Amino acid sequence: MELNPKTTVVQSPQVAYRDIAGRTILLKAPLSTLHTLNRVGDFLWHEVEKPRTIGDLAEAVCGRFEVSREEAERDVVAFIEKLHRQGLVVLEHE
Amino acid sequence: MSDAFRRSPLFGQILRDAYAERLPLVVLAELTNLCNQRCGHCYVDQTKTETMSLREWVRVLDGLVCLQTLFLTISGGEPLLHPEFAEIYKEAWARRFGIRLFTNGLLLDESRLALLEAHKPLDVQISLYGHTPEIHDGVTGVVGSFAKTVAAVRSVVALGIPVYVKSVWMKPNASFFREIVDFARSLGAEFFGSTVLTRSRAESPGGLNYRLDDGQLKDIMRAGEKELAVRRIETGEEKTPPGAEDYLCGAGLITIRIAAEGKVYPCVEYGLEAGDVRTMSVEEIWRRSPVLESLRRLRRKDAAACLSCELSTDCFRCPAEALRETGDLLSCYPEAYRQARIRKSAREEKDERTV
Repeated sequence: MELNPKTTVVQSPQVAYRDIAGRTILLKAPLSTLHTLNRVGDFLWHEVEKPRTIGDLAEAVCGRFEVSREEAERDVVAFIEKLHRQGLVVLEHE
Repeated sequence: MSDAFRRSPLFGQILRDAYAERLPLVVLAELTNLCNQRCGHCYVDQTKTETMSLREWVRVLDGLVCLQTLFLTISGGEPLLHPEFAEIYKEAWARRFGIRLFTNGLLLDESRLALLEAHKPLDVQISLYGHTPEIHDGVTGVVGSFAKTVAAVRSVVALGIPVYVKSVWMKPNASFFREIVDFARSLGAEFFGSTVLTRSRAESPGGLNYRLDDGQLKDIMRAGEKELAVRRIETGEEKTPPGAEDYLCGAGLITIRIAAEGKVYPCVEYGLEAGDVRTMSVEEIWRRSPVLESLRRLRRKDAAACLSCELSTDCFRCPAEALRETGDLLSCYPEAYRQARIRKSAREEKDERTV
């Protein structure tokens, strides 16, 4: 599934997560593996608590971190694809 | 393996962080003491019938989210007997806990299975005491319970949800431990067993009358499979011998138990009351309870006799059991000593055979 700026992303409701000692821990049910996120990943994970488009997320990353719009979108797409492969987010295409 | 996450280095790090930051990472929620089986070895006091409502549980769940609890074990008694079980389960699931459900499976009908399918837990742990109706129903006191429990295991496995079949080794089933393990695995479940039988919370002998003799215990321990006698969380990280400055256990440090009527205890074993969520928030109890604070100050070095004991590496000593059996949570107690002695002997015999 190819992502584009209008693709909507939201956390999978099957993922348990908490912020433990400054890091976000994700655990997908049924039990499989634990995941943790880096600083940008942590920011994006909380952004997709509610449905957001890839375009929105790229904008949000630009506003929070010092990166260009193009770079932000590339990184967001790569990150969301990774989460999607692990079943941690749900995608909706327009 | 469904519990692969436990063997990841990240899980070990999470445990260390939870100890360091004082987070109740693992919480046991007992929805009711009532049960539809009559197991003689059970530790639950079924005469205490008071339960909390959905509304009260929701307040507790919100508090646990604030405290960063990740693992929520829903248990009982038989938790499916709570009249608002489905609603409480869904509220917990919506709050993004990793849910583990302990049940005997008798009430896992189509609607409950549909609930689990739509709101998957991390795993379901189902008690099974035998590989035949005669043994299992004999333990539970309910004719037909074996067939229903086995059907429940199969149904949950079919949903793609990991199932742990749990057993306690006691006089009626110990001679069949190999058959029971093989049977559980043939159902598609993981298995773990325990050799720990304790006094009932009702102060009746409970499991004490069902404890194995030395020969039976040794047979199980000699089999050498850790799944036969699980007691500790293992992370898969390289083991280092426990140090004098280590905590005695996780009770009150990374875990608490919330009983059906709202009382809070350090763990499933301790009878020390730390507070009551009907009169105080769970956050306040976690942060201010003198009972929990006193447990947090204890270290292994405080149990001085254990540090120099030749059985220490084979001992699964439980401070709460020590307290109940001797009145001193730091002391040795006969059952821990007995099991450690037999475990050491079984291990040494096995090592000799390996050499």
